[in-house]
Amino acid sequence: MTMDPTRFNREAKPTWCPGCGNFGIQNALKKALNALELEPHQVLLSTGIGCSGKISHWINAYGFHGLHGRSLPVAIGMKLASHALTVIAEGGDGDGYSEGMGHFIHACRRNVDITYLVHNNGVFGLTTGQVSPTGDQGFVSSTTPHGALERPFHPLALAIGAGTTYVARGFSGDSERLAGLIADAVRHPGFAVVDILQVCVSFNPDKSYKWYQERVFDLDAEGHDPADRAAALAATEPREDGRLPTGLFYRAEAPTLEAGLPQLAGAPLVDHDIAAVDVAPLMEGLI
Amino acid sequence: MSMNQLNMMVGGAAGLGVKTAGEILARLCTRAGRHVFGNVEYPSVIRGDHNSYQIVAGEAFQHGHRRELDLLLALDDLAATLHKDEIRPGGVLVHDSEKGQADLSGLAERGVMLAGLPFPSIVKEAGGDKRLLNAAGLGAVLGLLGLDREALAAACQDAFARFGEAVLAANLAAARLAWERTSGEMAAAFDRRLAPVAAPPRMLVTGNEALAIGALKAGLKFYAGYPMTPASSIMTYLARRERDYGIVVKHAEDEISAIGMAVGAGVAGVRAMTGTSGGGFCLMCEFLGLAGMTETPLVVVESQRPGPATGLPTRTEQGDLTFVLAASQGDFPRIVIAPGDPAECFRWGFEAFNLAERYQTPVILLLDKHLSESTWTYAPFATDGLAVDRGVRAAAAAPAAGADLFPRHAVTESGVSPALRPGTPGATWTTTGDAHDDLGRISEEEGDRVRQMDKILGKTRGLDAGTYGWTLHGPPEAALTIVGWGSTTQPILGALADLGDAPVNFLQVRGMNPFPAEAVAAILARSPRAVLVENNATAQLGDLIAERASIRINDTILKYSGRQFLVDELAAAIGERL
Ligand SMILES: Cc1ncc(C[n+]2csc(CCOP(=O)(O)OP(=O)(O)O)c2C)c(N)n1
Repeated sequence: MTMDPTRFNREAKPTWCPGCGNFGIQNALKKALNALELEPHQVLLSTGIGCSGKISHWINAYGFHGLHGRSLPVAIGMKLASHALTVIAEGGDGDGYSEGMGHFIHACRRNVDITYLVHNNGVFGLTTGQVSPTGDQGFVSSTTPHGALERPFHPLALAIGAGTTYVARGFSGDSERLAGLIADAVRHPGFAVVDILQVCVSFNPDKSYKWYQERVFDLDAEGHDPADRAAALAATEPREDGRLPTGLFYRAEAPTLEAGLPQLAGAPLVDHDIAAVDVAPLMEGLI
Repeated sequence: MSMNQLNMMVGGAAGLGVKTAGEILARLCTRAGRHVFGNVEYPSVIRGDHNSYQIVAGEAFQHGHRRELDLLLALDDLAATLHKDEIRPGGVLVHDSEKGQADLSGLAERGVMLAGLPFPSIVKEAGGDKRLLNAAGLGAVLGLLGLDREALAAACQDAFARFGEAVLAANLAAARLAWERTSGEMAAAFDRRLAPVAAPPRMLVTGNEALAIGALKAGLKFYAGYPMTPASSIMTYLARRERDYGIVVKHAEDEISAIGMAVGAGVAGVRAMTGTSGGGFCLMCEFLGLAGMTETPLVVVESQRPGPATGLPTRTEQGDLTFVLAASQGDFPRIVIAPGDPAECFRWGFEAFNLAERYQTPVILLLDKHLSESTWTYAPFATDGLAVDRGVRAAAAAPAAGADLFPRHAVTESGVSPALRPGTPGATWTTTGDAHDDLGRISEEEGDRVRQMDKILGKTRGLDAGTYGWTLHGPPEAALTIVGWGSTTQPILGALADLGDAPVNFLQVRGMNPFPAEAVAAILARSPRAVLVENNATAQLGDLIAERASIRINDTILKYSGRQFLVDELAAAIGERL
């Protein structure tokens, strides 16, 4: 078999807008899975609801397109049940940082060996452009006609604070570099977050490809040490020059949740034989 | 009443060890060859207020609790005040005669024996404090019941050895000091005994324990939950055994996550369950529908407590039937079963997983606090004949003809699409909570929508609740038919036993959805008179019967104080109608 990202193609064509940042993310994901030498059947995607969440329909892998904000609990259940699979959760910033925020923080501290890709475009795309928790203060949208009053938050600062062991940011306009980050995140043993700056040509056109290209740079170029937690947090602070750091912010070694579960040391739960479980000792115990 | 029939209560503030003392007594009775029913009542506080543990023991199966007490062990004044009038003439009140302030006037005149013990001095002499009070009380009770010194030591050993030598010695000393005061004259004046009678070994088991064991027998591999009385003890029971049984039990961040994890585990191909009470179930609704839409097998336990909102967090009610039957938006098949006692909890705790995989849809087991936390005695449940059925699996992993996808939602004659576990080489599939076509692709085509709706709604058609969804207890024809469901089953059976040969039978409904409409209609049609017995305010089963079987039962016996029916209370209410 030839190792080629097209192994992860589906025949169906995405319904995203022409020029949507999701295409770059889709390409990066296929390249990453290919670089990891995975087969399509070894990958299980759990996606949320939004334009972004539909990606599971357009990647050749097992795919579960679930509820708005809930891709993480589903992905965690999948991984604990079938830990030999590569499990990836994916969705938008509205999905993950608004509706699913609670799950996000707990996934960060739980450190299950899954990867979480967030398509961060600052808006709710599928519901036609309302401001998201990462949208700028003052952003005018249909629900904030007089400008958004809340301040945006930096998801990676929160991820680092909550104990995430792999924290990175990519850009949908640089799918080569993004593919590398995704592959690295999947390889990382533990919960890996890749926040992806994504262009939304329809509802956040001011932040165009050009706008991002003028601002994004790789932290690597500054000699950032991803083992340095304080430096990683500092890198999430807004810069006076408005530049946007991408790349690997933080990486730590820590036992995965699975490592604390001896019942997962052997075969995945899904391979256990359940035909003749002996519950007699449990009933004995009640006598 | 034989001297072996016993109705005892331990009462006292939360924190005094009421439940521990009650459980020890219940176990002693079980080991002495008695059938036992144990009812625990407690408020939602950790210290103070009032807890009680009631134990009904006898040689026949014990259906429930009744008002007339043979013995009350009051660990504080409030317990004596609240329950003293429930003690029958000839019964005993064990109370604190040293510092106790409860007004006990009139009891002696009614023929109640006052077993006053200087509890503060006893625990002091035993070298401890209030923490020894329940052991001292236990010693007093065992003295009254005629247990000898060795039996007392064995009981204490059994109860306290696991806390270490020192704790055991202190508790035994306190129990012995109290025992010495009651085992002589007082015991001689009391007409109840706990002498062993020959009986096969029996379990003392709650509905939650029975359900958890049934689920493990079925091959449960993943449970996620969020603590909420009265469902919590399913999770704690399973968690303690997760390594022995090779399962994962996850305390999630909330109920949405709990059911989400269970759905994910189900998608990945293991048998998965979540459990909660009504409030948590409110949060689970969207995922319930997702499981229906994506045809994901899932078992959900909803153990009811009185609502709305936080309601009575530690009490019992059957108020969520209508809600559970309609929870989540849109139409999808759900199987809802309401077991009536621990034996049925075991059976359906097992069977729910076969149904969930056979029909690829959520199965809800509807319990309540009374069933979840009360104890009954049973011989170990028979496990032969319990066969795991994982439903229709794909023979080969291959894409549908002309497509690049395995047809996850293929339309078949039965409506059930062959399952293919993620990770299987040869194909991949996709599915979605959006409306979709047979290949699991989002589709807004009218034809796909109708075709898939017809498919999922049709697939449980073969499940005939007429075969499992009801039981008619008593004579096939009777002047009066009691109609009830779930945890009122045993109190009703107890009341019928009290009523002896009265012309009454009892229709227990178990299959809430699908509903055994024909059987129920036929039974009600031939019954001259029917009365609904429900532990809720609005007779929700009555509404269901009216809707599905087109028969409205107007006579009701309802209780919605947050407490279960007492057997004698129910017998009286039924007796009035005869
Ligand atoms: C429980 C629930 N609330 C609201 C919605 C409506 N909804 C669908 S997508 C979406 C937001 C999408 O924004 P985002 O997650 O950022 O994804 P994008 O479309 O931008 O990729 C919302 C609010 C829903 N589907 N479910």
